[in-house]
Amino acid sequence: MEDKKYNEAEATEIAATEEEVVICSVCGENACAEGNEVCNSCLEKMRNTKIPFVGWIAAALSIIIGMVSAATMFFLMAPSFYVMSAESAAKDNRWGDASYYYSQMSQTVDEFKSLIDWESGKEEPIIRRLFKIGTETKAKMFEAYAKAYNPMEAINKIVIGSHTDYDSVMAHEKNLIENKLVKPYWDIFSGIIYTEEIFNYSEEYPEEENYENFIKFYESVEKQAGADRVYVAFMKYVVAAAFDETVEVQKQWLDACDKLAKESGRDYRWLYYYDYADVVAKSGNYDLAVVLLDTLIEDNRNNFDAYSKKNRIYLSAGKFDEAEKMINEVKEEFGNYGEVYEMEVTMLRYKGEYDKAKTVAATIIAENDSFPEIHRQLALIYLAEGDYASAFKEMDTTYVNVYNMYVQFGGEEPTEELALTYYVCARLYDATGLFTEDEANGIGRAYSIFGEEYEPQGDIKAIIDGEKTVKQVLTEGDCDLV
Amino acid sequence: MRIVYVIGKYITFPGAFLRAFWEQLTCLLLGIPVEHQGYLRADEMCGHIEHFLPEKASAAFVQATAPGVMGLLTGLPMFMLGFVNLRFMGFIFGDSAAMFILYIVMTYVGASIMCCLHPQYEVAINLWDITLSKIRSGNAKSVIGGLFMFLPSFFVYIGAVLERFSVPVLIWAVSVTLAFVI
Repeated sequence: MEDKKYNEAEATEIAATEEEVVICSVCGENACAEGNEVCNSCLEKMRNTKIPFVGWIAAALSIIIGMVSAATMFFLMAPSFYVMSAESAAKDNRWGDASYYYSQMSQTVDEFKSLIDWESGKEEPIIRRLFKIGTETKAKMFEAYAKAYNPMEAINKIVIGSHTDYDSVMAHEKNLIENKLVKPYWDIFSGIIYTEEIFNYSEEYPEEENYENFIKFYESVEKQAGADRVYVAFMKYVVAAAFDETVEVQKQWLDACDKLAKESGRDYRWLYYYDYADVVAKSGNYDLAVVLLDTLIEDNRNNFDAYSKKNRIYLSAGKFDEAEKMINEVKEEFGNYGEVYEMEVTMLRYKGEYDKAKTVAATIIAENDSFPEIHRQLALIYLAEGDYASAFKEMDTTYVNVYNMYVQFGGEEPTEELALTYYVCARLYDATGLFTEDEANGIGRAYSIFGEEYEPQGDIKAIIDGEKTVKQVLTEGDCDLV
Repeated sequence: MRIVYVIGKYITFPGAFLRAFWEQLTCLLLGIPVEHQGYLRADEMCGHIEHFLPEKASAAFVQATAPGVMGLLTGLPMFMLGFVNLRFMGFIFGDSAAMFILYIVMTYVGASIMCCLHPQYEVAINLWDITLSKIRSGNAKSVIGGLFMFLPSFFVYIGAVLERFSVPVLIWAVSVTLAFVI
């Protein structure tokens, strides 16, 4: 629509005489468009106001970055949720759960990274760099592993990882090593490695390997600068245990270890607390053993090894009610974990309720057959019942499965308890002469674990020599072969 | 409160600038006349453009919400990528200075865009009035349209009120800080 034009004098005149004509407030020249305060010409100009070039650039950038971010975020959501879950578990001192979530996070990030081709040695593409676990999270992951398992294992897995030498670790992981969560353990690790080097290269290493010579050797080592005295004290205990010194002697070294650890102000509990609890319990001080294990449980509420040891201590002390109470508490807190069933089966066996123990074991084996200890407990029940054939079959299958998992898939190595129980079952079944050809191979396999020169010790020797019956060993004192 | 508003907008200037751009683009597409297009002015129009208020419900709705939606679509992923890498993936300066700075910038720009999602108060009031008048009109078609617009209009209105006092800036600053502290 064409606007009617007026000059200033005309506009003033019109304004004075014809009230219905309103002049455009923008240009001050034209009559306003109907229902508007501006004329059509100004309205048209306003409708086509140019957008500044910089605005287009900014908007285009925001769209591009937004799209790339959205695509990347799609992959980072899962790892972020794992970190959130891990942090939440860590706040409750559930370090086992926390380390599980962190390992899931790490695995997910690695999987996403592997989708992007990159030849090692060449410069890493930027898109790959977007999937990187930063130092802070790596340090938290380290803390979770250290508290759930063992700080030295955590250092090997997270700090050292795929690095092949010390210089490479220092060059690439300096930030991580300097982190406040890692540094204390790294210092302990360095001290232990240095002490090990002294062990290996010392000229005073005993020619004749016996308890006294080793103690003298360790005493010479601990005087050297840089040696980790807590570790050396622990090694003295290890030697005492290896040479079957009395519980009092073993306890004496662990007491020294405990004293030195407390003086150092560093956390060495991971190194000696389990053994300390064991030795203290063997010396008859069940209460102190429970206190030591409770400290470990307080530090990591997922510590099923400590629960399991506490269970054994209660059972050895004949405190069945306390064991049952603890198992129920753990069940209430963590639900039906395999480890809880494991403790329950052990408790029922100690109490002599074999049928009930077998039922519980069958339940968990049907649900999740990944707990070798449950099979070992079943084998012990068969042994106590005099059914050596079933005991051997149980242990033969279990040991072979665990060993295969260890060799083929990097699972856990068969424990000494498992191996010794397998050995005893094989010896007892061998003595019956009722085995088939296949089973004879299994018996040979069991013997080969320890070699031909193996000489059984303690209760196992007593059973083999006929000094004790299997039932006697499995129903008195520790109620176990090992 | 103008000074608080202007300070809030200057703190979040990347978001304010982009918001004004999307507003102007929406006006251009809808044929709404723009009176003044200064993007970062030191008054209550900072981060917005001065334009005529649309009378048609659909135009009022699109004009009030589309720039915010564009901000949300670009700002949220940007913020998330920066924030997730800094907070959850634990990225620090020592890991890679360039990537660390990039993540800081993305967190800031993303958050600043998220602080500027709402239209100016007058636009929000206009949409709210149109929505209510449609609901009250008694015409079935209008009532359905009004009900469809009700929730978005309500959020736009509340957001515009809060943005007048720079409340979103405060909320974002406190939340991001707390996320790193806790």
